[in-house]
Amino acid sequence: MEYKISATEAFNKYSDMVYRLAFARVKNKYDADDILQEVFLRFIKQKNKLNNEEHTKALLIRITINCTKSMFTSGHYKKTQALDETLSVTMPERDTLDAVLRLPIKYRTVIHLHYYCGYKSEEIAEILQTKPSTVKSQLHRARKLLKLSLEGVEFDV
Amino acid sequence: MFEKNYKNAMDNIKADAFVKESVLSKLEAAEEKAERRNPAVIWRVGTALAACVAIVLGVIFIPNNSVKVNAESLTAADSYNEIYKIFEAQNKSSFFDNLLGGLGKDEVYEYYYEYSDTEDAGDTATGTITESSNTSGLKGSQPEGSVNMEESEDAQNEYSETTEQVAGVSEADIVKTDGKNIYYIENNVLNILSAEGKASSLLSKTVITGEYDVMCNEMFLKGNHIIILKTDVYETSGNKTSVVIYDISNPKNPVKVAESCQEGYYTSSRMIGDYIYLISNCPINIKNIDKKDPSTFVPTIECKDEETTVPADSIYRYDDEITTNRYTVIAAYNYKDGTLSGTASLLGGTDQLYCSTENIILANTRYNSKEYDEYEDHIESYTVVSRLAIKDGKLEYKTTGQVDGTLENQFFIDEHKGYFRFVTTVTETKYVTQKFENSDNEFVSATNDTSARLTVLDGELKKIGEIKDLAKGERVYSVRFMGDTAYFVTFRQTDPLFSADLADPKNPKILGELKIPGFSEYMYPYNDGKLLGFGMEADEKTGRTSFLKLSMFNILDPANVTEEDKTVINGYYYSPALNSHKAMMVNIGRNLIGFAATDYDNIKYMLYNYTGEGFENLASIDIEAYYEGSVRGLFVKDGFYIITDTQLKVLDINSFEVLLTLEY
Repeated sequence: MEYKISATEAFNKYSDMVYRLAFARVKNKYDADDILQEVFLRFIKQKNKLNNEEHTKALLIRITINCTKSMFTSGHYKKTQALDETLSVTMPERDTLDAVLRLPIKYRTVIHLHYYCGYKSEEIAEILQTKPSTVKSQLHRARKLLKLSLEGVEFDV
Repeated sequence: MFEKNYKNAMDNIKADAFVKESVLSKLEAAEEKAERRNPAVIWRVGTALAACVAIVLGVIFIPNNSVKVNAESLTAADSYNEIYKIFEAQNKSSFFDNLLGGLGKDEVYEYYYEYSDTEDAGDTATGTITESSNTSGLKGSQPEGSVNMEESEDAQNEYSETTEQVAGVSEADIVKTDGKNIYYIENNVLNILSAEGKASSLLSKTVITGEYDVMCNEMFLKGNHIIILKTDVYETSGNKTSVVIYDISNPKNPVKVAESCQEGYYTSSRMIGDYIYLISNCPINIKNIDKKDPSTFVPTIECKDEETTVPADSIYRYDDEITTNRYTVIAAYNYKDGTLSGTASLLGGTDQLYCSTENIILANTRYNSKEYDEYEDHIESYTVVSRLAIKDGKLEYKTTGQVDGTLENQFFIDEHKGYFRFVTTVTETKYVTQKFENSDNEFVSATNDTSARLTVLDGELKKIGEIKDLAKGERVYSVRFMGDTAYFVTFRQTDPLFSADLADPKNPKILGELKIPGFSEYMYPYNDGKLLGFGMEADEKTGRTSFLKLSMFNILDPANVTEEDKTVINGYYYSPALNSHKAMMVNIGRNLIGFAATDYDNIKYMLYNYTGEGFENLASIDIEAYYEGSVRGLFVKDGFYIITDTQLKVLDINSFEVLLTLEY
């Protein structure tokens, strides 16, 4: 039972996931568009080593993070654009998103992976190839900062 | 509530349909092309490329765009003015406009936090149990109730110690015991519990206070003193790391004796004799520097309520152009009263630290970011290493050198007979330009090839010997130096354990290689020419990791290392002992191996011994912890104590029956 996934299949399944993570990191749609393309082109090179869906997701997340990283270091990174005003969200939802996007990049990455993608800290650590203790302390500090900016926020941990 | 709001908002974020369509069509083209290739050809091209790179590597030892470092290149700054000029110049340079100088307050905060997590690397990446020896270098100078009792054989079996890399160099941890009480710090609370088997109890809880957000990192214990290494985390910059000293003569009422602090966040620490060496990383906000106020660009140290900037002649910097906005501050304090006995600061950060009884080696990994932009093949990173001589609380900067590649933890560095040895993982990035099938558009894809490298530097940190291009395509997972021999494990799919002979430092040689599935994250010398490995089992074909694994290597003949025994801990995927040697309890005298293991739902504390024929599971104890990294096991006399952030469990050391569970 060999696992195989084509880049187009992966794109149809996971392009939203990649796009949202990219957005959470670069905070604007223009760069997220570029990253979306870059991620899946890189994915073609590496997809043959994959064993299952979870692997695929993890690899895509890792590539997305690497791609966004090089955006920051290459000087390509421009000042953050304001969030698209046409988003059809409620005020509390909007505030929440803004608060997350104001976090330092490391923190909003782990917050996104935990609360949006539903990964546990250990899984995040594996994906990011870091230590679970690092992820846990980042989550902890991120929640602390979010509590400050969103008064009385409740976390369903 | 937060989760729901965030999810709903995020669900609205989507790529526009036309973007998706355009990406999809490019993907189809690129994929079609990739599929049509003959794999055999790729393979042949691949090896040919690898061979070329190996030759090129010999020429480019120091990446040409990097900060060039040579043995004499660090000099003491003559005055604060000189330092000011360095930062001022950076402030003006366009490079820093992009990277650091152009950042507003929020981003400085962000940048700071990006790096502040190296503290995790620093404090978790630490040593292993020392080779058991009868040398008792510090024995005579110990006060009553001394901590360093591993020096004598009787004491070694009395209670267990934090595992350490170098004999005579104590390492801090979250748990300490003196054979009478157990001391445990969690967040900002010091808990003292009596170690009296069934009658164990909580003696006191002391809240460590600070000015803002307090984090107690680790602590030392010596005689009647507990030395807590605390960081005050401020919102923007200017964090402070302190040594907070408590007198614990009365464990029910610890009394604060002294507090001294230095700027920066906690990186690592060591204790030798009466002195604590504390290392912090101190970022400077170069946008806010003021020539008239040195405290805006020079680290400060506060001792006995007196705040001073470190003297200009104790700050060392490169002669060459430097692009850094941080210092590494090293200071030595007396363990009893916190008086400052010596200090030195280096421009540039520190990721890993090795400390022998005579030298501190600071290692800082740097990336070749410029080359990355230009799509040139290059070695991705190199590590700048600096040496400071230490003696009785005095610090003296000696020299700086560099090795290619990155270090995973402090065990990747070693000092032996005046030579410094490093094992690194070297990553070469290569770029390949490809064309899409039906268009003229090109895209560049990067491939990363890794290999292991062993480098020997002399006392001046000049390279005198090396072995390159070992274990192509693999990364180094663990290293153990034992005298003239080095053992290191690399991993991609199987786990080769290399042994290298360093008796002639100019001409290191590979002695042997053993390939087994899985890998070891840490290696601990065991008795009779044995080396204990702790890591993960992996599938030989796919390289996928499965469960935790204990291995016992026979290293009596370093040229012919064998894996004598192994045991796979079925069902358990993760242990904090994969990340820190301090979370692993290895005691050769009692023949005990202990660590926490989790299947992600439950945490158990596992105890093993090694019979000579194989590993024997002595006990698997259910424990509770909010965070499994907080779990430590230790023994005092006939009791085995498992301590977590929520409870203490006491076991009989012979029957491993749970005698007491204490929630606190």
